[in-house]
Amino acid sequence: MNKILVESVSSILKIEPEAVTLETSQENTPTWDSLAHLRLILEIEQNLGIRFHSKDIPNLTSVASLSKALSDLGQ
Amino acid sequence: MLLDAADLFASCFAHPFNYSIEDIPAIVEAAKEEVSSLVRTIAERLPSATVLLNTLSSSDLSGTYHGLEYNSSFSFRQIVASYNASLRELARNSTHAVVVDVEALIEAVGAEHWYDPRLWYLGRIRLGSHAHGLLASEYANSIAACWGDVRKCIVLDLDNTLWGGIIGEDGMTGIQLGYEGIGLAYVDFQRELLNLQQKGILLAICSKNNPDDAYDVICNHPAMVLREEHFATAQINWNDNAENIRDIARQLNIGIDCLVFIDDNPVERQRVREAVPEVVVPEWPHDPCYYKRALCQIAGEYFLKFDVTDDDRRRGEMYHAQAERKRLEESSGNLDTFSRSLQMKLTISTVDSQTLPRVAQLTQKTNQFNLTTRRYTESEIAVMSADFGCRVYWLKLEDRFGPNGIVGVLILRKQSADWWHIDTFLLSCRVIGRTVEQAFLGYAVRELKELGATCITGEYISTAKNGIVANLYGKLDFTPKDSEENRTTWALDLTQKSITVPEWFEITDQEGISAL
Repeated sequence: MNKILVESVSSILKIEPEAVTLETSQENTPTWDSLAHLRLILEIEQNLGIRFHSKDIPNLTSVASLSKALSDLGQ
Repeated sequence: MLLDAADLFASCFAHPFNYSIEDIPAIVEAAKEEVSSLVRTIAERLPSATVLLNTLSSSDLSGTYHGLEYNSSFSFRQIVASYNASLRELARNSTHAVVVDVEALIEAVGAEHWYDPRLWYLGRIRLGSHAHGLLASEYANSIAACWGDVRKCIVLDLDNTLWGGIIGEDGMTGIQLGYEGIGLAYVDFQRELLNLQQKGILLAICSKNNPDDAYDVICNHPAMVLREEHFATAQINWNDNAENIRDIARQLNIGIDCLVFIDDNPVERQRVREAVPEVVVPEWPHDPCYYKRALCQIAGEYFLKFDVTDDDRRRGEMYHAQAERKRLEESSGNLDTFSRSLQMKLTISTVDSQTLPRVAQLTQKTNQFNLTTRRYTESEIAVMSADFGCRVYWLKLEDRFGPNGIVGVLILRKQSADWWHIDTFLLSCRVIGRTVEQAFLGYAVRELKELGATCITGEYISTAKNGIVANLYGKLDFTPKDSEENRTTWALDLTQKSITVPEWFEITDQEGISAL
């Protein structure tokens, strides 16, 4: 999995990097609230120098979906 | 708080053609009334609070007004401009409001980088993340400035900082300083330093140089903007910079944590950062073209002020005179002779609207000669001055070397019909050691006796910096009462004792009437 994605998720959602898996999602992560979601998106964008499309952002609520979106963007 | 033009003038944004320029005064008046009533309410409920208001920006205008501004009777800029102007009036008439110039910040960054439409539509967050950072530090600096948490002195290197080149090698005609080419960058940098000096920031020199060479430039180079009298002190020698910087703080009698050091040489900067971590050593541009800009940034961060008092404008001059006093003190052996020869004149009075900013500033900035180190904002002092059970005195000192301005504050609170307590007693460090404290308290005690006081109590709360006054009340013949960990309390029985004003002082009240 993309290392920067893991680091971003870990630092914004305050969970250990080892605990970040493809299964990690808004459903099973209490710290992943709506504000943390936007912060996470901005953090990933900034760290990777990419930009998600705004129509996708509300749906990128799991590490799996983020990971897929990143590979679609060539990351 | 932070208000946005799009919220405050929402209907003008939504229906731009329902309003023309004639309607603007009423629209702005309504918004201004809304904001000032908010400030009034906060001031009533939280008398000690200060409200931060912000200027608005019209730079995020839709294309609607394109071409119409200035050419037609439709304008949004006019709304924003008159609202911002009304804030000036509001802040100047209220001790509870301070204006943060957010418009200037947006101008500097550009509206495009300030507002983030994507965050707005996804999360109803108006500003981009970069803007949030800038805004947070601007507000943090403003809050720090409200509390007087600002630096006092800029310590400057000479070669390649105040002028281009090295005086010891390039000589008077070889250095870059003047109106030709890059020399102008150094002139402009010096001009900005002079502006800061007139705002009350002290300037000092710390340079590895041959003093004769350096002073030759400072005194005789035709393009120097800063001359000897603008510098509160100078260390020009071959000693270690860190040592020199410590000496500067000692000579000026200010904390080492009040200094900002500017040097073009990264090695020297690093050395000072490591040896004296309390000193702020900003990164410095390699290219002199950017010196002035870097200085402006530092000024906003460390030297933010909401007002310039008369004392601020004369501070540099006064510190310069202080050096002359020191020389006199050294030449006249004992303290009485020295005190007499200074021809000191004191003015003592209670605080009013004119003196309020300086009195608050002194409570916030004085660390050494300060018995209790209680920090007060202007709003808090205003509340005390309106209270009959409280007397807020200030003291102004003038001597043969010129005026020192307001240099002392004494706040007394009535505890019972005949008992007053000293809440705050402080003197600016530049007048320590001249028996001013005795005269000040002596004067106040005399007034309180007339009001029926028979007992005065005071306390000393120790801090890392105020050891100099640990036994002040003892010296003034107070009796020790209690002693806790960092606090000792003292009392003076006015039926038995008094405090005499030393005979070498001439004391007047504010109207200039001799008070003794």
